[in-house]
Parts: sequence; structure tokens; C-alpha cells
Amino acid sequence: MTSSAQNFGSFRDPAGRVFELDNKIYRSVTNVGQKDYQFFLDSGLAESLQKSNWIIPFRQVERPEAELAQDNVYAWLSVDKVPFISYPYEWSFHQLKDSAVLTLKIQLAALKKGMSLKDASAYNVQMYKGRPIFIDLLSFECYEEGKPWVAYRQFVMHFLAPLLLMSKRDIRFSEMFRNWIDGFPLDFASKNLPWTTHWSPSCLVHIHWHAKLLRKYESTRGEVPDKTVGNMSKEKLTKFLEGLLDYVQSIKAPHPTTEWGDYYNDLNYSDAAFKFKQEIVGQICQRLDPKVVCDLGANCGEFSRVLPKTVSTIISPDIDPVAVDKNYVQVRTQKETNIYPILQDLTNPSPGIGFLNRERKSFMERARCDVSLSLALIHHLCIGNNLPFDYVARMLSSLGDRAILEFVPKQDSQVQRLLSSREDIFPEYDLDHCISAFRSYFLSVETFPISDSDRTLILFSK
Amino acid sequence: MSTILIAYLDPFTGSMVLQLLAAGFVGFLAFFKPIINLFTGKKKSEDKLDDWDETASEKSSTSDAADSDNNSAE
Repeated sequence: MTSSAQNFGSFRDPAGRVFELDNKIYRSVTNVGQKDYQFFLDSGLAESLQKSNWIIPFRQVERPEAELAQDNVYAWLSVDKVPFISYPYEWSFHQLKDSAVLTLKIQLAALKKGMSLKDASAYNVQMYKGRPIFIDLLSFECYEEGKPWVAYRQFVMHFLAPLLLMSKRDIRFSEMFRNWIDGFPLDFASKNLPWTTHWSPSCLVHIHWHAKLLRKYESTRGEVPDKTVGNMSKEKLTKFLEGLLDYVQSIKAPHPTTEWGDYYNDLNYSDAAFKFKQEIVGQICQRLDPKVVCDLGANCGEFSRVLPKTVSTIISPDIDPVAVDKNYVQVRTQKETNIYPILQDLTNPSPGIGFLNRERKSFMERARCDVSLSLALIHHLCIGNNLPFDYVARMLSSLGDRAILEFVPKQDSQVQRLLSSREDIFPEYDLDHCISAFRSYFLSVETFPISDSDRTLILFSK
Repeated sequence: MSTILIAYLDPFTGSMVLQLLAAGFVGFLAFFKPIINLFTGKKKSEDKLDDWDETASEKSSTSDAADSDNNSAE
């Protein structure tokens, strides 16, 4: 029987479980995980990784609450809560690449301390304070001399294969993570990578030969032919992992031109109008003092960055993988700790996936906020995707109690561009109909006409 | 006659065998890489964005970072 506080996705590893209680995260260490966890502490690895900010901060505590009565628990850990949980199918190229590099660096650091990662899932990593951090504290096991890395296949499926497919074929390959919760099948990666990748020795070994060997040995799972056992010394394994790390670091991001490429250079209103919009958004947010804001259709996060510093979490989703990557790279290089760029199509947001659709939560379950921002978005939803105003209002109402929306009228050149190749079947697309639809979900409406433009900012409050 | 590896995650034989075979191959390549790079003119990536450590906090650069050789338990 599992506790209601137990995270549904936390069931694979018998060494422990994750619980959420009163908005706090706890991790149990069972008797199965006792030996490895104790060595994780005693070897100094835990302290070293925490000092480097490579693993999520944690401390050992007494059993937190009576509700967490569990059998066979050796220790309880209180773990820092990640403000916004995101998944690899929502990450941009550099988010996935940095997570891969982090995982390999942690594995190399663990080997030095006599430990090894027993799994290398991309779900063990989260974006936290502007960079990836390793969250699975029970992934460490005592290293056995001569043993190859048990999580190598998983690492390749979760990180290397999607990175190569994104780099060499199409940046949108990452979205296929939604279909394969345990990473990309290597025969698929091998088939879909350009033939020329056979000339890269690293790709040849880690993907193409790897896929072939997996097929060859598929009927003998877990068994290693005797003659090869013991041949992989720690030194050889370290060299192998360092080679893999070098290879991952050398993978370049593709640079396609996307619909948003030069968005901010191709705006439909003047600098003054743009500045006015920035000021009004900043002022409204200062007045409302939200802690969590969701900047829907954030592009490169231009407006995420004008929000007051008191906003502790800014979820910054966009449909364009290049824009999300630019946003993330800025977050990382500028050490911005409160912005969470993610890839998201709002007309088809991430569903719940995994067993019973509950292992990984849907975007709508995770993206709860105090204020949502929908700037220059409404025409894409209503005209680009035929969504009625009522549907958009329902979405914003389920995200938070307040919504700031920029209404883009039909005469705006951005709307005209959308209508240029199709019949105008939107006779009711105007400000009055928009406000009227939102009144079913929000009680109060404040409007702020944007000077030097036909657009209007609207604040809806429940 | 074979050895069974017991792990919570199925390690898959093909992946184990590959590592054993590739360890030698990788060492072989590493030996020739500087020579090959000399001819191809290839340099190590200078793209700062590719270096994850760029994001490491000041704390990690001033304290005993996890990958520091001094920290080795050996």
C-alpha cells in the first residue's frame, strides 16, 4: 500500500521513495538502500557534490510526519523543492546537453570516491536556479572493480541519441521523448542518423555498434561472456567515460531559421509602444506582487526579464525550440536564477505520461501561477488555431487567479499576416467579444490601451 | 559459462560487451587523436556555452569541486 503523499513516479528503485507533504519534499532511504546511502555520506561524495551545487541540497531528518509511516525505512531526507518541474521533452538543446554533461561529470566524480551511478535517466536531472541539478540522491551505488557502467545504455538512450538526432537531423527530435519514457531506442537512432555519422568513430561506437550489439545479445540479458569479465579496470572505465564526455561536449547545436528567429526585429509597433508595454507589465506585477508568473509564449524571455525581482519563479514556455534555447543560454550565462524556459505548444501542452498517465505530470498540472502573462499570443491561439475566446479564458483561469493579456486587434499587421492566406472566419474577433468571454471566468477587468499602437493590455482578476 | 550481473536497472549484455570492447578502441583513438588533429587543424571547442562548468557557482570554483583530483578517495 503506498502513501497518498508518495510521488506516483517514484516506484522503480527499491532503495527509497519520494514524498510530498505540506509543499515539502522528503525522500525515504529503505534498508535496501542503506549500505549505498551510508557509503555516499561516509566517502565524502555527498558533501563534495553538494558543495559543487551538482546535486539538490538535502539534509537527514527525523521521520517528518505520522502520515509518512513506512516499513523498512533506514533514513529520511528533507530535500529542497524544485519550483517548477520540467521534463526532457520540454528542454532545449543546451538544457539537454548540459544535463548530459552534468550526469557524466557526476559519474566520474563518483568513480573517484568508489561509487557509480546505477541509473542515468534524464529524469534524474531538473532545472534549478538557472542550471541543471541532479535530484536522484539514491542513484549512487558502491563501485565494483572490473564492472562496466550499468547505466551506460540508459545514458546513451536518454542523452546521447537525442542530442545527436537534434544536432545532425532536426532539433525537434527531442519531443519524441514523450513517446519513449525510457529514452530513444538505439536501433531507431542508428537508422535515423545521417549515414555520414558512421565516419565519426564515437558515433560509430556509441550508437551504431551499440545498436547492433544490443540486437545480437537481446536473448542473453544480464549475462556477460566469461572471457570479457574483469577486463574493464577502473582506469579503463574512467578513460571510456572521459571519451564519452568529450564527445558529448563536442556536439553542436543546429541553427535552423524558425518562425520566431527575428521576432523582436520585426515588430509591428514602435519602440515607444514596446517600452510602454514593458513598463505597464512591470507596474502591474509590482502592484500584484506575484511569486510565480507564467509568461506564456515567452519567445526568448524578453518580458520575463522585466518582471520585478520579487517574482521568485517565472515559467517561460514557448513553442519555438531555438527561442527556448536562446532564453536558456541567457539564463545560464547571466546566472538568472528565477527563469524557467521550457518548450511548450499551448495548443497541445505536455500530457501526463507513463503508467496510468501519472508518472510525469501534464503541463497544466505543473504550471500553476499567481499571474499569467499572454503577450502577443491571443491572435496565434484564436486565429492561428481557431480557438474560441472562451477556451483561452478557460486555460488562463485554470493557470492562475490573474491574467494579463495583450489583445491584438484584426487590423494589426501580425493578424493580417495570419489572415493573408486564409478566409477570415472570425467575425467576432474583437476586444469586446474577448472581454465578454473572459468575464465568465474573471470578475474584474482593467484595460490599458498601448499608446502608439492599436493593441490593448487587459488585466483579468478573479 | 557466463557471469550474471545483478542490478536494479537491466544493464543489457550488448551494452556491457560494447564497453569492454570500446574501452580498448577509445584508448587507441585517444593515442592518435592529437596526431590526427595536427593534420586536420581541429582544435578543442572554444565555445564557452558548451562548457557546463561555466554555470558552476562561485562556491564550486573556490571550494573543493567534486571533480578535483585532490578529492580522490583512492
